[in-house]
Amino acid sequence: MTIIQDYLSGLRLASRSLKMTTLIYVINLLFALALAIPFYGVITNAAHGSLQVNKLLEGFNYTAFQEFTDSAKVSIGLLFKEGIWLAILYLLLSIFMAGGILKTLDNGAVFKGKEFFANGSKFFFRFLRLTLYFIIIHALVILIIWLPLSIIITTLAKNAESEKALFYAAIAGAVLHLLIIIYLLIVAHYTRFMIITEDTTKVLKKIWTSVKFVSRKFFSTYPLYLLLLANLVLLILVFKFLSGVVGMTTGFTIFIMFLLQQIFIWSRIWLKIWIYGSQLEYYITSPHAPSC
Amino acid sequence: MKCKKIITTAFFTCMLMLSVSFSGNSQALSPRIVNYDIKVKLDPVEKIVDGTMTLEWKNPSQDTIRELHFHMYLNAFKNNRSTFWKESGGQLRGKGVDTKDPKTWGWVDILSLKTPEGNDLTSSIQFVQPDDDNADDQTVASVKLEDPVLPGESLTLNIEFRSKLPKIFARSGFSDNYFLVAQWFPKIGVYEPAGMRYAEKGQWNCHQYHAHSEFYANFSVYHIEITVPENFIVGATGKRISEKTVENGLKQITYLAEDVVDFAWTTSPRFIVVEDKWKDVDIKVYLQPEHEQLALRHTESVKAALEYFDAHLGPYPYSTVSVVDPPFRGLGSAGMEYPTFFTAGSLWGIPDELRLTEMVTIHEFGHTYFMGILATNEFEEAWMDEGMNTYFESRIMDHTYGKGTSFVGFKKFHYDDKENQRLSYTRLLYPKIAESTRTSWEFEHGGYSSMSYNKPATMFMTLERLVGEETNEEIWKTFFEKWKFKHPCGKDFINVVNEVVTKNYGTGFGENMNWFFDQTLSGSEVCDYKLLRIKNNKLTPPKGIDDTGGNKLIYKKTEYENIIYKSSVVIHRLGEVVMPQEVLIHFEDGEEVIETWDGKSRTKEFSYEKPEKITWAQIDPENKIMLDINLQNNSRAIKPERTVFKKHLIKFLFLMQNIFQNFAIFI
Repeated sequence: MTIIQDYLSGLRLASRSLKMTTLIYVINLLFALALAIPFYGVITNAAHGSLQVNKLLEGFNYTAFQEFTDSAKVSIGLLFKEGIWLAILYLLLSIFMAGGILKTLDNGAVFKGKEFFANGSKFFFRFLRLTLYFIIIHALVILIIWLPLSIIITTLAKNAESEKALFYAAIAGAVLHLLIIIYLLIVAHYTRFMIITEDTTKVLKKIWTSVKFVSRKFFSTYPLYLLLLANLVLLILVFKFLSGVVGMTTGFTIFIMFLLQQIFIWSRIWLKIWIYGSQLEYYITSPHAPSC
Repeated sequence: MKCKKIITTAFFTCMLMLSVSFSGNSQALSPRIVNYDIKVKLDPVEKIVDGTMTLEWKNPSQDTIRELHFHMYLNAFKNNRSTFWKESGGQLRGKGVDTKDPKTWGWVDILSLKTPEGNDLTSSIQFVQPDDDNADDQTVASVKLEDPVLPGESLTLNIEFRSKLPKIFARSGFSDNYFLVAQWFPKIGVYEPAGMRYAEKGQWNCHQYHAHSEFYANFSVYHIEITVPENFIVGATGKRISEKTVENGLKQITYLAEDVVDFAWTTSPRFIVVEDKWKDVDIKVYLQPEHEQLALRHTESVKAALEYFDAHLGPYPYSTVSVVDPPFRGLGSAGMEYPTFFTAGSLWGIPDELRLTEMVTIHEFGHTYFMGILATNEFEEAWMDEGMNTYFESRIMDHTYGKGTSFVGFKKFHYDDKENQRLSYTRLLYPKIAESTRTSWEFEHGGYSSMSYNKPATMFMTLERLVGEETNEEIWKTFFEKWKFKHPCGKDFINVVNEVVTKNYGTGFGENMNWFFDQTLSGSEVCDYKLLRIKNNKLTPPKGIDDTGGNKLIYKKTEYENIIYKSSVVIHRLGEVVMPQEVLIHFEDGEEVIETWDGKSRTKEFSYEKPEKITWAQIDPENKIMLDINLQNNSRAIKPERTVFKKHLIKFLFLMQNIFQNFAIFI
């Protein structure tokens, strides 16, 4: 199969996953609301009925913004701490849901609530281990890229005639980092597919198999992922354009923006499923060595 | 005392007139106390400047002078024992230094000091420390004279000196082959006769070099011949008179600068020179090649500043402006002013919307007016230079680049220079850190920049809005015209304010404006008024015993024909600073009432009995009192508009949803 065929297969799987997408969207919304509702209380209280805050309706006002955040900073600080715990919880929940999502896609995107949660539960600890391994690997990558690069940047800062060289060094580091992250994400995805399809608990071994698989088929797996990421870029561009057109200055436009934002979030989740679907399709249909 | 002052003034006038023939070619604008004729040669490898100087100094007083004081600024970089080093910790303007590298250090030595008659005074040189007890500080030298200088007489000295330039971390020095040569030669201090500024008797005003202090110097004429390698490009204070090639691959450039308080120069083989003109003023920008695309941002902001100062303060009296753009590793010299010559600061790729280059350029140019033409004492009254200049900087920035966007002009994130200055003061963790009138070395823990730049600038904004634009304009023009080339002090400015405000308003602001400056300049307390409460209580009919008819009867149960509210607005003065206030009160039928209040009492209540309720109220509706450290608590509405909160609620919700989803990207 070609990359395009896998890309379209993923789309077909994603289009059959609207219920699953909506379930994840609702969970995402509930988590965000758990912070947003107290946030609303914080900002209304911190304003103390001041008229100055109204300057933030028409657009941005630096003085109003700074003085307002100063008066709200203690409460927002508490909310931030709460947000960190919620983010960790959401991460765990995402690990949990990954098992359900992938197994559903593996079964032709036939969504059954009970099976979704049962598979989430079944693969949770395997995927948790996988996530921890990748956090460690990512930390090592950061060290490998940024340690020598920071030495280069420090040396340049001491010796270079112009700051231009520093800027390019930092950009080069950031691009390299991004390319490696993408590679690691692809490896992580295929490792999950292997765990799901083979129902294995040998996570470390599968990481290594996945590295070999992705590297051997680098010119298929990498461009496929980039093509799928292009969907997200397109979605962001369309959203930016629409939000620029609508603005947020009246009750009505605020409501329209709310709808657009929620459509954006829903679409992001749907695109994620599309990515999984296409990659899984590629994995299943490509001749690959069974677990060894 | 008064008689003494008249004599002093008459004496100065005579000196001013005489000075036309004393030195320089053109008509003197200033007293021209000193004439410096310096021949100097740069060794770019050793970072050494060798110079010979003929100094002609005029005794501006009626005193007999037996001792001279010289600034030896570069000795601040001689070792870690200097007062400058102790105060700065060897780190200023974001740059630290490698103390093990011998090239890091800088110094200046007087090799010989002789009279034209051949009397060698070198051995009489002694270092003195007028500001502290640091015997290791060598930034001020005293020279005992064999023959005293009589009132009005002049003294000529021939001096040989050698200056080793430090690696740049504060204002002057070198970075590779970029040189910013400032505070580089033995410079005579200011002798203040009795009656000048705060001097009760004649005295040398020659302070040590401190980390945070800038300078104070005589109006002088500089005739400087600079020798550098042929491939080096040179820029300097004043006018370029000649340039010629000499032997061994060297060239000599001669500059003449008249009626200026300092002379600085720069050289580097990497400079690109961009030239422009405003009226008869030649503008030159000495740019790093990688910053060539920023040339227009420099020249346009210089022209904007020239135009604005010309219209709102006074004409620019010099014929040149030179802007130096330091290299990345020489940024320790950026943002520093010298007469007709200053260093700006820019970075490659800096977006047009981030107007740091413009702000620094306009700010440093503005100093020419305050430390240059007015020539205030920056050691003792930094607010007069930095504060006044920062205030004008924000006026020019807002005028040129737009209110609300002049400093940062991105579509969704923008603010102007005035906001930036005000908030830099009002958002301080401790805005009472110091009075602005301290000498510059007395500020501690970051107080210098806040209290010399931002608080005085905010104070001037408040003054402008209190007295009105027209009166404010008159104040500044009068002050400049009266005191240019005369070294005014703080009280001279306040006297001008009092004079103009009293002329225009009588006693409308009190007997004078001292109350304003006593609180905001000499005081460290803050201004903060808060609109505490709005109440609307329905008036109830009378109850109980009514004996208005002679008999004691129970009030009959009645109702008012119309509902009447007893409404009130309560204001608290939270800060110690007292400012006259206006309060705007808005009723539900749209009626608005403006109340005035002297702002003195701790609380103030405005009450009304009306059929309409008060819906909102605002203290200082025109935002005149920019010194108020919290503008948010100046207003209150009974039913605040919720749309803005809803907007930010859904923005926050969306942000959180995205953050959570970003976490999930790793799954």
